[in-house]
Amino acid sequence: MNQTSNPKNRDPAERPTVWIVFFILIAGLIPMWPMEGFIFGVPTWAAFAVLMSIALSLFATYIIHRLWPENEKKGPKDYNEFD
Amino acid sequence: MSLIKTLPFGPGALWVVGIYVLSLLGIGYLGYIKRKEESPSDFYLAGREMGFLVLLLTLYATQYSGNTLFGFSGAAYRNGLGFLVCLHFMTAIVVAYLLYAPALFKLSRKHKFVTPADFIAERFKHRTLQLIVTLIMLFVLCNFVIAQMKALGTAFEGISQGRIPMSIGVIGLAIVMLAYETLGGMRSVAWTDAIQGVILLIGFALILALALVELGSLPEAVAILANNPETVHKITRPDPPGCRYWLSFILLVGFGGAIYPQAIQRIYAAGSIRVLKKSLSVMAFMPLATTLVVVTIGTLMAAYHPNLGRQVVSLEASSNVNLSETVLPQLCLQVMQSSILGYWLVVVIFAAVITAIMSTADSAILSISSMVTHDVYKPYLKPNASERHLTLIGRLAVWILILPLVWIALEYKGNLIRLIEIKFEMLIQCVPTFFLGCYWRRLGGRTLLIGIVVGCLISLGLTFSGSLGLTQQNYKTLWGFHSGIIGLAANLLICSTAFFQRRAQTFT
Repeated sequence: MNQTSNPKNRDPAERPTVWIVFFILIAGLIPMWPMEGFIFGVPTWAAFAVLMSIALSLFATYIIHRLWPENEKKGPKDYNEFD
Repeated sequence: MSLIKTLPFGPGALWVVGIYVLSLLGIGYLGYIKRKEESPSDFYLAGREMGFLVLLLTLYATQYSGNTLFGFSGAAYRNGLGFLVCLHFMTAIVVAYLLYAPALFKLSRKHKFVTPADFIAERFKHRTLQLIVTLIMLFVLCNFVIAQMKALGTAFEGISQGRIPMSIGVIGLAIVMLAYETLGGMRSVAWTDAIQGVILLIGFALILALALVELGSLPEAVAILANNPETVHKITRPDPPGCRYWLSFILLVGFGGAIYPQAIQRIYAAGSIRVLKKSLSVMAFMPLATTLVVVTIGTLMAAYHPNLGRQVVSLEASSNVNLSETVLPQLCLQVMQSSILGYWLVVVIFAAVITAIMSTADSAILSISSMVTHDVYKPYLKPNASERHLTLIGRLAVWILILPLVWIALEYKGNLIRLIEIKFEMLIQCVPTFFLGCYWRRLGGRTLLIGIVVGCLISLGLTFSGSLGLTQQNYKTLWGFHSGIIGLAANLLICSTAFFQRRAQTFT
C-alpha cells in the first residue's frame, strides 16, 4: 500500500510546494538581483542575502514543525513491500 | 615563521588546555560505565537514545570544525562579503537533511541501521553499490581526519610555542581522542561534543566581541573597503560567474554535508523523531551564530589590516604559511597585547579551536570504525561474528586505522595529499543514493552504481585533467560550477533513466 496517499502523512520531500518555496528562496540567496547602495552601512545586496538566509532558516523550521509527520506508524514506505 | 607560532602564549595557557583535554578522558570513562550492552548499536549510536541538547550540540560541534574558524576567516579576508556564501551553504545542509531525514529516520528504527550502508543493503539489496558507497565514504572520512589533524597541528603549535614538539602534541591529543572514543563510543563522543559545542559557541561570541572592540564596527569597515580601489571588490556584488559559483557552492556543501556518514549516524542515534526535529530546527539558525560571525571578522580584518595578504605572500616564499592560518592569529595577537583579560580570552578561543577540531575528528573516526567493522569486516571476513566481538573489533579498529592517518597528516608530503581537495566532489556522487533512494521506488541499485561511477570519473577527470596531460590546466570548476556538481548532473541524468523502468530493481 502506498502510505503517502494521505497528504497529511507525506514527508516534506514529497510535497511540491516545499520544493517550489525552496527554489524561490535559493534564487533569492544568490546575489544576482540588481541592488545598489547601502542599508545600515552594509551593501544592500549583502543585507538582502542575509535576510534571505534567515528566511530559509525560518522556512526550514516551519517544515520541521508543521510538515514533518511524527507518527512513526504511518510511513514511509517499507521497500521490502515494493515487489 | 608562521604568525601563529609568534603568539605570546605563556606556559599557563598550555596547562589550561592540557587540563581541559585530560578532563575529556573522564567523560569518556563516564560514557563507558553508562553503556547498556556490548553491541554496535550501543557503541556507535549511543543506544539510539540521544536527547535533544546532546544531539543538538554534537551535530553542531561535528559540523563546525577548525576549518570554520581558520579557513573561513581567511576566505572571508580574501573575498570579503563575497564569502557570505558560507552562511548559505551551512544553512543548506540543514535544508538538505529535511529532504531525506524524515524517511531515513523511520527506516533506521524499523531495520536497526547502524551505518549508511545498512540503508543501501535494505533498500537496494545491491552489494557492489553498498561496497562502492562505503569505500567513497571511507575515503572522504580519512581525508577529513587528515585535514583535521593538520589543523590540530597548527593550533597546537600556537598554544605550545615550541615547549612541546608539534608531532608529540598532536599524537598526544589524538591518543586522548582515541581513548575516550574507545571507552564509550558514540556516548563519549557525543558528551564530549556537547562540552566542545558550548566552548565553541562561547569562542565564536568572544571572537566577534573582541573584533568589534579592537577593530571597529562593520559599517566603518565597509566604508574603508569601499574607499580603497584595491579592496572595493570585497564589498561589491558578485558578477555572473561569481553567482554561479555561489549556487554551485550551496549545492555542493549543502547536499554533501548532509550525507557525511557521521551526520547520517546522528540521525540514527536520535532518541525520538521529536528530538531529531527539535535539534534540526535549532541547527537551522546556527550558521547565523557561527559562519556569519566568521565572515564579519574576515571583513573587519580586510578593512583594518589590508596588507596582511602581502605579508603572507612574502612569508609564503620561505614557508607553508597561508592566509587561512593568519587572519585569526593576527586578531588574537592584537587582543593579547591589549590587556591581561584579552590574553586569557584568547586562551579560551584557542581552547575552542582545539575543541572544534577534536570534536569534528572524533566523530569522523568513530564513523570510520563503524564502517570498517560493520560494512567490511563483518560481511567479508567474519559473517557470523557476535555483537560483542564486533564491538571489540570496533574498539581496536579505532586505534589501528587512525594512527597511520595521524602520521600522514604530520609527515606525508607527497602529491597524493592533493586528494584532500576532492572530498566533497566524491561524496556528493552518493547524494542520489540517499535522497532519491528514500522516496523513488523505481530507482534501482544498478542505475545508481553507474551514476556514481560516471559522476566520480567526471569529477576526478575535470579536477586532474591538467595533471593527467589531457588539457592545459586542471578544471576544479567549469563555467563557475565545481567539478563535483558537473559530475552530479551527469549522475542524476543517468538516474533519471529509472523513469523508463517498469518497477524497482532488486538484487540479491
